[in-house]
Amino acid sequence: MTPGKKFEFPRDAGSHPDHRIEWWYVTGQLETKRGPMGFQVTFFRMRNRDAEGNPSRFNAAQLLFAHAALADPDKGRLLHDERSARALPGLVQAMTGDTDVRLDDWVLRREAGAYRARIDAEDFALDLAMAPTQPVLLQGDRGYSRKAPAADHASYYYSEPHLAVKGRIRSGTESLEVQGEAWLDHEWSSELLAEEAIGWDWLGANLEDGGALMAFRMRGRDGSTLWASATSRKPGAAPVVYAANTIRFRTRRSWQSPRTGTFYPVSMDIEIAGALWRADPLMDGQELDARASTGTLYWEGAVRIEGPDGARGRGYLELTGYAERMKF
Amino acid sequence: MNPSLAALLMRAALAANALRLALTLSCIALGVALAGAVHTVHTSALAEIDRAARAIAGKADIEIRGPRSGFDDVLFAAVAGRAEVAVASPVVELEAAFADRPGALRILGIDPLRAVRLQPAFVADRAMTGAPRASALLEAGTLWLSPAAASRLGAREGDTLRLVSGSSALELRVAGTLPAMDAAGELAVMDIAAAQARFDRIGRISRIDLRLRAGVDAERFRASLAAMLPPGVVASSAAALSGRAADISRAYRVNLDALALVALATGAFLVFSTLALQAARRQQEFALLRALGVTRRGVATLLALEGALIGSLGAAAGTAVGLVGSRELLARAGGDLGAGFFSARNVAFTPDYVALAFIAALGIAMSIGGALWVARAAGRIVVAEALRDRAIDLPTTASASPWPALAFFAAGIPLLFLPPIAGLPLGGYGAITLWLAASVAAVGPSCRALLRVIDPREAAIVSLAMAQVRHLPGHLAASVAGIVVSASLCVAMAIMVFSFRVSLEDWLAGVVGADLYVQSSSGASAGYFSLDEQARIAALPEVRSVDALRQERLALDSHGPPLSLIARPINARILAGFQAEPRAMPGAGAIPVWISEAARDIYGWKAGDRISLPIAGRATPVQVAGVIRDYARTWGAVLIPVEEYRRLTGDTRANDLAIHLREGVDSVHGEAAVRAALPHASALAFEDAAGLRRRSLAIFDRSFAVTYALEAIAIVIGLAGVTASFAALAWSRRREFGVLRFLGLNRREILRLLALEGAATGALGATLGLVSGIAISLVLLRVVNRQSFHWSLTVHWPVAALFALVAAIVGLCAVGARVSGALAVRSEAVLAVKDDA
Repeated sequence: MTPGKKFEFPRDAGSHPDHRIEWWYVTGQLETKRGPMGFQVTFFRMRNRDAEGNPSRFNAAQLLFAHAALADPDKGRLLHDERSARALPGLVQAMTGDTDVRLDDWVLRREAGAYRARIDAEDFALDLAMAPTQPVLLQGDRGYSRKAPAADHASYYYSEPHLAVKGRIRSGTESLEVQGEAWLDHEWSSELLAEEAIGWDWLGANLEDGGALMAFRMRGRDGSTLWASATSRKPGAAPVVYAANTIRFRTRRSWQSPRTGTFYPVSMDIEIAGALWRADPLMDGQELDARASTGTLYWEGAVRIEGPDGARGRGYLELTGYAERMKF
Repeated sequence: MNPSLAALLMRAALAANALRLALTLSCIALGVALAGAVHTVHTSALAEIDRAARAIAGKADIEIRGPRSGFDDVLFAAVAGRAEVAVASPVVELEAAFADRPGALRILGIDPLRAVRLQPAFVADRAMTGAPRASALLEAGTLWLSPAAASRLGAREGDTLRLVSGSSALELRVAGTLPAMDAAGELAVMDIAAAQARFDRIGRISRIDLRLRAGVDAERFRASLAAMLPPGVVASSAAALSGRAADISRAYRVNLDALALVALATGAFLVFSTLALQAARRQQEFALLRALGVTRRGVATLLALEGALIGSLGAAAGTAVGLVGSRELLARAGGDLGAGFFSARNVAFTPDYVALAFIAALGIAMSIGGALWVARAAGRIVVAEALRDRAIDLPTTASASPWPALAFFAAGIPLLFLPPIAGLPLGGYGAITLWLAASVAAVGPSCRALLRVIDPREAAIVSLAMAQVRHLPGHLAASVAGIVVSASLCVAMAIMVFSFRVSLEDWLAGVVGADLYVQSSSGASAGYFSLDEQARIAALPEVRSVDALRQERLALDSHGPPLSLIARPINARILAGFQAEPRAMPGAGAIPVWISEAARDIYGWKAGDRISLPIAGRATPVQVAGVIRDYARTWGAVLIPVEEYRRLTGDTRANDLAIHLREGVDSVHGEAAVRAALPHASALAFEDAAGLRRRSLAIFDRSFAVTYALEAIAIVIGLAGVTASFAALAWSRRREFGVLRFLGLNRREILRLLALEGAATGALGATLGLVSGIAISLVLLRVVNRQSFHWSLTVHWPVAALFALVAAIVGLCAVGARVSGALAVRSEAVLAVKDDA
């Protein structure tokens, strides 16, 4: 993978099956008549070279994993479900050409320019239309996002901040009209995680003034920062990318999961080129066990953002590798 | 009667007859134990099959299945994509023989990522379905074993299994065991795509398991699904599936249960004999009780209580023995009682306590019934006479009227023409029961009729013996009835089994016509010979010709077991071997098939019918050219010319080859030549014609082993009844013997007299048993077998065996009478006569 790849849409919004891993990842905040809620939907594609060449219709050369969660503060925990399946034309597929991923009846695709997510799980359901309101945000070096000091760990990565959400959800048996704002990441790679990395902290936030902020750091086994990157974009302006050495993540408060005993730094200060951003969780209990699908046990939660000069926003904070090393 | 007095009297009676009561008790116990054990083994085997079916079906509501060779896997996405479906899981099911050891392994090719949502037990660890570890789960070179399979194979993680695919071997590594599959029996699971590729099943699956969304009406969905399923693919509800093992084996199980109950019924006659003996000894006591004011009812109650006590003790002991015995049997031999319906090795002990209680209650009821029969007789004692004269016989005589016997017999006849009810020949069983009753009722009248023709002017001893038998006292009549019942059971079964065996031998002689039989892998679906391999064998100089045999199983409806389709070359010789009716090869026209009698009965087809069979996923019109005999498949078989099958399916593979060798080549050389021609085929199973016939007959004999054991036990119980009766007679005839001694007969002559009486009684019982047994055997052959298993059998008479049986019964009765008489008349004759004075 090299910097300078020319991104073409909608083609690059579709699948890149030659790459080993790829994901579409949507997080967002919803307004309901019962108050704010958070949601996330992840579709993860994996190429399984071992199975290539088997003429069977069921050959497992491409695998899809999906998980989805709804943070309903009334429930006090994440409602979560997950799926795994091998690609099977018509039923389980990640199409090339434009975003169109489906795993049985779970779907994320673009219809008439807007993303549409349909998730029907046991405890909850999402049916959301998410329309872009801003241009695509290429992360890192024009969409080439390094993940380690060595150049061979990198991905192609773009985001769609400030997606306008409208739709309907079900929490338990209660059906609710919702609207809100979401953030979509689409990333693909063949070699993501460096050997010495155990996980990452990631933040993606829609700011109230229409700005967007993304920051992540890769952590080593000793908790040190191996690599970091951040991008911010003011409305209507070009994105600004910050170098690794200008970014600091600091824990303000940790929370211990009563279920797994894992400590997560759920409240963080993130210093980017001297500016301080503070992320506070909507609720603490947003640990997510997706070991049976994407394979991770992590914390992924809706947060409130406060930044310099009264900047405010809402986003999602993702904390991985605290329970066990991330494996990809 | 005062309860404490009753208890005292009973205790005295029991103490005085401890040995004989122990015998009665043990016979009741034996009958109850047998019936209980047979039933427990069957319920355990069924429960095991049901558990395995449930473990494998998991949370599925509906199962879609097709022929053994599977159906087009494109159907999966279409079904799984339906809105009513919550989870769909595709399965490739096959049996692969081991290349380096005997036996085969059942393999389920599954999609672990889907199966885990229906059958969590199929995946060792739920987290393995996650992205980081999924590829290990989907690896093509590995399989996972159920605990039962792992323990039988002695295989551990990392071991390599060599299995036969086609006619060559492949290696699969054991990735581990699936601990939650311990109820599923012996099987292995592997990735579906790997199973398809490695066992040459690309494009085919065997099954789709479905779980429906909450609120979907399963029956309505199943009906709507039927429209999208190709011919030969059916959808059944999972609830219906678990009962299938019970349905398939029901006729066999009911047959064994019926046999065990006959053994128990024979015990009732024994109870009667023993209690009658006691009553004979205690009539003075009864008379005294009556004289002291105890009513007739009171005496009857006392006897009934004794009967209930013996029955309860016997039933309790029998239930315990049955439970322990069945548990041992299950642990040592598994759940199969010989017929091959239940092949599971590790069968958990699962008694059906309701049925056991019923069997125990039957045992107790028979005992009380026997006691009341005696009580009725004891009630008729003329008190004054009995008090004075202590040695008269109980005044029960067998009825001399032939009408009850004829009435029972006549009542049985219409039952023969009833169709099977729920697949069971209930009419046949009813007729057998009535005819057994008829033969029991015939004991008295036929005894008189028989003796009328015997010349009484023979030797004094003989005429004395005949005079005794002529007036056959009541309890002796009862034990003769026991002989009649057990003998007719034995005769009937002997004729049935012999006819069956000879029919099978004749059939095998006709069907097994080639010199050498080769299976690509014994009994396993994953093995086959390719067309090229068939040609290579046919080209061998040792080989005159090769017949390719291809076996397929077709699903014709959603509930019944599959229909066997056998594709093979068909010619006049084969049709003669299968005893086809009509036998002529049809002219050109529709595709001809020959159906087995079972297929005819189950599907209602007949010769000349144009029917449609789901061959190769298409509804294929064929014409029934004739009906064949097929003793190998209970659920129906269809023969189709192999060339037609190949034209319809494009499938040129063969499971088995029947090889005709050239003149002068023996099977050893033939086998060596075939092995040399297929150097990679390590798991070939060879059998010459004689070996195949021998093996088929051995399977047959094994399936009747339990039947033989049950018959033998019924005979033993019947004989025990006769000895008990003679002991009773001898006791009540002490005075007579004393008189005979005074008249000059010595002790040996008296015992000879008893032996003669025993022989005469035995002959009477055996003759009646023979007659009713022959009648019953015809019911078994023509009604019970036809309705249970759909087989026509030609009647063959096992003359020598029947003669031996009659001789054995007569001899054993003579010996039994003499021995028990000797025990009873030890007391001095003088005392006996003095007693009388």
